[in-house]
Amino acid sequence: MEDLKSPEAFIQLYENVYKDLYRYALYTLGNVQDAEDAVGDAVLDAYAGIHNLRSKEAFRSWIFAILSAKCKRKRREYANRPEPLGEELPERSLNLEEAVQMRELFERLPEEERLLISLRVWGGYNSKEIGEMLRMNDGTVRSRISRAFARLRVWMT
Amino acid sequence: MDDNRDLIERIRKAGEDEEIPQSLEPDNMRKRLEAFQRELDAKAEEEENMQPGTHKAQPERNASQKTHPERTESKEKELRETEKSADAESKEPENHGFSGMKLQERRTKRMSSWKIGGMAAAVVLVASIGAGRFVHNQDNSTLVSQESYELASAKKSEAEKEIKKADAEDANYADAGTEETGILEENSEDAGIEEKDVLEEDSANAGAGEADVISEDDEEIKKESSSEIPHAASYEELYERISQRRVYEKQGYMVEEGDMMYETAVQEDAAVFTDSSMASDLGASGTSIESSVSYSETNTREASVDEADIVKTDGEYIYVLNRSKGIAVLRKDGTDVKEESWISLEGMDDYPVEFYVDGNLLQLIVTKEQTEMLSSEEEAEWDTYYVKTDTRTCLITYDISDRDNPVKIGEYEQDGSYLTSRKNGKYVYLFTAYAPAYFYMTAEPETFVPKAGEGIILCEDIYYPFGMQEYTENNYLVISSVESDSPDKAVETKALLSRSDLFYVSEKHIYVVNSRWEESGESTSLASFAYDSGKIEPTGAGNIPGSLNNSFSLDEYNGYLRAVTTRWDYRDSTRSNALYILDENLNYVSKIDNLAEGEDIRSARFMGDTAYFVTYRNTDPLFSADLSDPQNPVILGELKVTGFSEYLHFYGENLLLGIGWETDPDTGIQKGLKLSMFDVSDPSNVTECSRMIIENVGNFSGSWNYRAVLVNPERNLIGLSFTDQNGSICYGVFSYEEGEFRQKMVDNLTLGSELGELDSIRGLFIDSCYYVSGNTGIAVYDMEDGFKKMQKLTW
Repeated sequence: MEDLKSPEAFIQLYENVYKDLYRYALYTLGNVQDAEDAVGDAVLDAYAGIHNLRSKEAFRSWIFAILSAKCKRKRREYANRPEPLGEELPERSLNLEEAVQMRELFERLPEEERLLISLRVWGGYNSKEIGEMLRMNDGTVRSRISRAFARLRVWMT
Repeated sequence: MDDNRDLIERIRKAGEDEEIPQSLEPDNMRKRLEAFQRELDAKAEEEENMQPGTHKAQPERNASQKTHPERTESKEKELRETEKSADAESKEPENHGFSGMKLQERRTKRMSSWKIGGMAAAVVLVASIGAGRFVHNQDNSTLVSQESYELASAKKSEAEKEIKKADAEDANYADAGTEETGILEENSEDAGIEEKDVLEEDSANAGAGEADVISEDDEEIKKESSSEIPHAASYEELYERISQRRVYEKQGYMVEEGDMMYETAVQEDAAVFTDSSMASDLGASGTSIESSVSYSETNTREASVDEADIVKTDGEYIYVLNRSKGIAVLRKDGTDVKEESWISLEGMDDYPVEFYVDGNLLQLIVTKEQTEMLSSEEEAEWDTYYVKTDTRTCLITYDISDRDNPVKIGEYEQDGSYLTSRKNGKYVYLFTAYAPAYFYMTAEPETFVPKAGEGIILCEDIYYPFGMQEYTENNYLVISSVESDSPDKAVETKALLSRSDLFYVSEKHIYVVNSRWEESGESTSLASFAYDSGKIEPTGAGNIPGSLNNSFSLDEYNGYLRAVTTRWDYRDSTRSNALYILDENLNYVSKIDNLAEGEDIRSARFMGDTAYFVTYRNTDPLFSADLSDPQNPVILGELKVTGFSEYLHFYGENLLLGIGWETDPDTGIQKGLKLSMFDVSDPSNVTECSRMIIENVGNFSGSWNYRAVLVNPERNLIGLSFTDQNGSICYGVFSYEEGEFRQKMVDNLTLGSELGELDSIRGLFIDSCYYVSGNTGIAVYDMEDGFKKMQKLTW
């Protein structure tokens, strides 16, 4: 869309999604630095290609798709990395306990389930939409997500 | 899913307490985009000023404001036309899977303006930061498959002169005005067009969705075919490219240091089945084809190219990696295993990744990481910190002639985090990813050039295969070859200034794959290197639309590279698949496209002239293609079955094993893990002979790591690890007898013998003993006694 080609216009759309984008990346990747990076990269990619977006309504799912592709690839890199050294940056969470605990629970999930559940929670997409974004069968998405939720429930008790 | 709303709410609430990094706050992001937009404008401006044969050494400051005397009306018109054509949402008449027509138009224009008959010329392309660097989907013309060029030394010195001029003029870098020169040299002896590293002139066409594959109509371009990839002309030039990332930093967000930018696929491959007689040798055996297999080997893609793994055996000993302790050397003793010795880790910070065993040599790959946290005043404002991480990867060689007493005999080290490696003959090829620590970067090469062995990599060994497409392209891929007899140094080191998503190593070539994002979908850039006896030489670069599922989607045979891709268009949510054939220099040869629209590729396997690949949406068409005529690939057949295979493996002469998932074709609900056996004796009429469904399977490790799968047709064993619905780790062994799958064993390791995480589980066999090993132990099963568990050893 032509009229979105200015930073100002783009940012207006961005404002509505950026927090969810970040939290999605954070819960998926488990690391503040990587999440920040992934979102930044995705935003620039989106901005660069913005003139081809058909409607403002499509913006959210479009940028989420870009971001989840980035997160997916970044997750693969983790397999070859040494054990994470733990969050190196100080966090100023208001409610540290719950936030940290929730992220820790997410870390326990297998990577694909984490990606899916994060899309569900932060993206707000249903399994069909998620299936399309990640090129998966929506039945698979559904079953994986419910399994992940079940696991989380068990751990949270 | 609706009954999970409460949980969703709770998770969201927890997430709300997470602080959003400053750099992502709208105000800061807007500034970042503004800087970006300035670069795009500057680039567009610069593009208009380009003329054939000129040496554009001057970077331009405030280019958007500048009017250039050389701009002509025709150039402006051209620019506008191409902008228009890129913006138009027309579907091209010939569906190349990309905007072939527009690209064609543009190329014709470019060709005519750049053609220089019989005259050598150096063309210097100026890339502004924003356009060249950040808009990775813009650079549609980088190293187009059939574009190539030659580096003549005369031109090189010309270019070097230009660089010196550029350097002299580049006094400082302004935040938004930094530009750099990328130098290409063009040898137009053949009066052809050679475009390398052409930055997308029209920034307005950002993400115009053009893959760089030129249609068959571009005969001119196809004629040119060389194997050169541009390399850095000097450290100064390299510095300029890399330091552009600093612009980001001055905008005031946290610097990311260390090796964070790489995205690598867990699966990397090496594969070529050179002829069908290899069929019986598939699955990797420890002895020759004729005799019976006595012990299993790592499931490599390429029979003659070894891959490192966390478990190895040589028929007498089993070597198992434990990430904190080192390598356990175990001796087979009947149906027992005995701990013979340990190869310990040296340092506390050493992280052992995987290793090779070759006769009396064991070569272990270890990552070493040192981290510092620092902050500067500027960053202290944001309450952020720099994390400086020095990551190095080492290949440590041990002499294990005396299994009781392994002795370290050499160590080779290079900068970067470990990506993958291969071993061919006496040479180990090591691939790492290195990102310079920007905070400490100065013009001194030592601060931004990776070290390999004793010193930094020479600039003539640093290549730019994909041009200036990626704004994150400040990472190096470092490839070194180390000879077993001289384990302290590298025979050769080459580096690419690019990230890499995938690797595929055939018997002769190393292919480095880079995914790019365009608004119409992804495209895939490839760079190839020939390797032999430790020598590594670049041989080509190319680009195809779509993305690769994993490295099994690539295969080299008879000098051609075949690839199957899925192209996903986010604009209208359509998908289609294609098969491409490229030549040795990665020039486009032929394709079949618009396959299985609405589906995407789940697995692929090539056997000589025949390709098999699986696409899936609700059912699983298994396609077979005949590639015997590279100019005319043909789809032979399409078998529709329910579910889909994620992993394909040839099983004897006429059988193809598929491991994947069974799903309900109507609801899409997953019903279980599926083993399928396909009869491929007639590729145009593939049938499914048999299938077995294992219910209640959660994850199957072969989905993302083919080395976790054991397939040995000679011994008729299929071994795989998976988790069940409760998360328990299980290992199963199956065989194919009289046209049916048989379950030989399924052991619930979590309940029976904790051996480690799913990713660390491997199966192997020696004679009649089957072993399942993991990070913390190994279990032995007697194959002659119904897979009875004989022993479990843990550490």
